[in-house]
Amino acid sequence: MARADTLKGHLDLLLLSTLSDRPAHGYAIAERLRDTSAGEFDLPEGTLYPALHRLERSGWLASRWAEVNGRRRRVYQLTAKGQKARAKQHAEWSDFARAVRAVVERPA
Amino acid sequence: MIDAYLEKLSAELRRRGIAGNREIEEIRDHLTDSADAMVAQGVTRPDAERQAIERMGDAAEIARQIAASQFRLGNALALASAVALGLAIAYVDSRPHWDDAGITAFALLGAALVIALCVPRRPWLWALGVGVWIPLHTIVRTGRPGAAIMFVLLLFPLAGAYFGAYMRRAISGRTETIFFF
Repeated sequence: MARADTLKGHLDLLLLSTLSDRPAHGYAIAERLRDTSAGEFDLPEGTLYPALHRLERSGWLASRWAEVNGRRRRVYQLTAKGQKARAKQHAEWSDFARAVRAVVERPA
Repeated sequence: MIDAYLEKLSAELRRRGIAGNREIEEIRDHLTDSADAMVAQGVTRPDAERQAIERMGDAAEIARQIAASQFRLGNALALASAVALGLAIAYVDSRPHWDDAGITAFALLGAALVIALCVPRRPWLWALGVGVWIPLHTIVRTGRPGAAIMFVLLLFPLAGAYFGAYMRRAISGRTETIFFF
């Protein structure tokens, strides 16, 4: 399992990316994160909600109550502003990851 | 088991001055979904609820994170209100016909008290926001460093802000040390 503090630094990008293809409610977001990362991102699920609400206040996510499988759920979706933010954060993370790889994997 | 967890989370949020109805409702849905999924895989209901709660994490920590994310906006509004009220009081106090230091002091105390009652974090900051303008104006107007003695006026908003924060703590039943910084 990834260290929680390491994960926290990338939580915004992970949440925005998880919602990039379709809207989802909190439990489904946690499931997608866990499944897509093969169990690596198994963070305390309660930490999702403060992050989701913060992203919503930033205008990167929008939410509404909706009927899901016969139950009323708060569903989150990426906004146009959120898509731009995700693209920017993705590019920054890619540059950073490339630079780290170049250093740690350089031939001895 | 889920209800007990939610009651604890609700109590932790109330202690921090947050109703948290939406958070509680979303987390209840989440725990129910999580437990139902495990029951469908053959886990007993009590074990499923216990595991769902474990995955959710410590209620006090979740409440702390929710409070931290919400108070950023609250802090900004409180500081803006403090500055606006402080400037208004300083403007009235600077009028040539105004000669009632008692009312000015009471206004400084009252403004800081009301703001700290609404947002009890960092009462010293609300006191500064309210009270710093009259001393600054006096120093600028007279050009004398000795006018800095006017900063003694800060005692009034400081007293008001800390009294307001303690009142809020008493009202909401907080027991831990108040958040001064």
